[in-house]
Amino acid sequence: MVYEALATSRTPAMIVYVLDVSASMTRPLGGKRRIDVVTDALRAALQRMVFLSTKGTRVAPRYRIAMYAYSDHVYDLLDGVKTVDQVVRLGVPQLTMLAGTDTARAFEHVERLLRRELSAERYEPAPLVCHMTDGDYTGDDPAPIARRIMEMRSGDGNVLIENIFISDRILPDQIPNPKQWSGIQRATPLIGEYADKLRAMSSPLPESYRTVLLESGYQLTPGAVMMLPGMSAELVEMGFVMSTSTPVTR
Amino acid sequence: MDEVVTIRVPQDRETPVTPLLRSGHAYRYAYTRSDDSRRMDDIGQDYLVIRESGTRFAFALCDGVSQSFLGDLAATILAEALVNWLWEVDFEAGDPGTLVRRCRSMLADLTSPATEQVMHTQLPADLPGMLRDVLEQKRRIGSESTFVAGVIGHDVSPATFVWMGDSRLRIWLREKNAPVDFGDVFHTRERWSTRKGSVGEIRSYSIPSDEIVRMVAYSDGLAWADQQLTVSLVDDGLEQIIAESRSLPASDDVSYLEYVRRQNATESARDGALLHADTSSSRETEFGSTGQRVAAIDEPAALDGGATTLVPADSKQASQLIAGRVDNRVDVRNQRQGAVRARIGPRQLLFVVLLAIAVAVVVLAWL
Repeated sequence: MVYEALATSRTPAMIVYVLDVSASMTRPLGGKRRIDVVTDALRAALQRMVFLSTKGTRVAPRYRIAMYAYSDHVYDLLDGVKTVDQVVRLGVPQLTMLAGTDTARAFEHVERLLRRELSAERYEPAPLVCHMTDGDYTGDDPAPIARRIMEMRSGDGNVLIENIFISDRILPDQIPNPKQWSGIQRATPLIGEYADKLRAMSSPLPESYRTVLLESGYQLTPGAVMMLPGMSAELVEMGFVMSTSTPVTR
Repeated sequence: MDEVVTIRVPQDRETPVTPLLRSGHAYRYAYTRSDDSRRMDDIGQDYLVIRESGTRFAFALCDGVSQSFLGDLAATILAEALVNWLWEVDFEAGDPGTLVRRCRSMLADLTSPATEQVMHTQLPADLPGMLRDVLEQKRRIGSESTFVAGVIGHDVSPATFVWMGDSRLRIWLREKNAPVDFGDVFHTRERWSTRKGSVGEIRSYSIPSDEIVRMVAYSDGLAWADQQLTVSLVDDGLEQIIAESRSLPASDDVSYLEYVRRQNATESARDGALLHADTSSSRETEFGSTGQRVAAIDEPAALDGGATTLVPADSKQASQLIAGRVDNRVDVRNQRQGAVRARIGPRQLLFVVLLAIAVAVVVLAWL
């Protein structure tokens, strides 16, 4: 489990976004609606992938992207898995809010997708599932499905799950400067049972990802898990930057 | 022979290993685009320029940074500027510190016209909005390239090399088996930027030209083969490594240049005769033996200067010379065989035939 395979046209990195679009996403976060903060961060993440894939004026298909929005149902925003050059033409999907937060149902979709797409034989970057939510689930417990997903693997390592939890009540203290924050460790005290559950559903941050994040100016320390407290727009954006931190060639 | 020839290796196609033999040196070069560029039929972002005359050899090998704005743009601007600078500047009086200062100053002076070019480069009109936004973001950062460049004389004048970035440079000196140990000085983060000038440290190396036996420079697309490239390979072996680089998942552009100084006056005189003989033969015959290899440098767009006096000689011999497979003993033997062949001309052959007939007539008469 080294997570060193590079995202290339021949070995593209697969990133699956799982976005909670429940009604609570209308609530404010730093002067904007949470859903708008997420849309902006998603746009920035896609732009970053395009930035890292552009050679000349062409976009190389270094990333394969799937995007699910969920409430009581799951919506496939890209109609299957699309390469980054295809997503460039499609643009950033419009997120519409609905009732309910059936996280387990969304993770079941992801599990089915990965069973179709994943091969332990291929040496390609381990897929990353980036889950963004702002509150407790309303359906079944998603944790067992998340565990099964984390046991799946490509030739480069087990599937990674990252959680961005938008809430102002996760950590006892505020994070004044995300660029100097060391990250959530396994022993970091969290507020609330669901925060603990999401941490258990989060993969350890691979060293190769940490190196890429260091180059982007973040200071996450070894031992951090792939969980971001969405207490500000900057932290939400940091979470989406983390999702694009598969190593690439210069 | 003071005509100056400049070879600009095309960025829009592959150039196989192309060996060339000159009176004072031999060299070979190759170029291949990354797998991505080949698939998208895009140009490569490496750029290799070679300039030579009868007395000097200069080159600039630049590797455009793909995460900057059109990295091939910086590579092209920089390579042309470096070769011009190396060709024109007199390094006789310069110490390494002076050399680096002059290089930094040249690179700084280049930022203004280069930025102008970056700002005026038109993007295709039909780009999707997100891609256009990203490219405009990159335009603000500027275009960037790493480089390795140098100039070598045929006498004791200083050979001078400068570089920034992770393109490789290896130099073998007289009576030394191992290449010069430069230490940890090939760093990806060091580069030239159209906006900032030199980013990081400019590295340099100088030595009397006649100390240099062999020099190899290549871009980081061949970094995975560093170990294999510590020895000189025959053309096919080198071609195989370059082909292998295209099949790697992280395939990158590859540009390769290898220079070998002719060992001594005898060798130069012998191969000079060969060069002369080849020059007098027809271009069709001469290029026929090397086919596509020569065609790649024979295009007017890629080659300028006095091409007629610096036509390629026997590419096989150039390859052998570069790969270190020609030794004096074999040469002497070949020369003797050549001498024997030279003595048996048509007149001698006629004399031998007549003599044989005469002997046969005498024998028949006696019987």
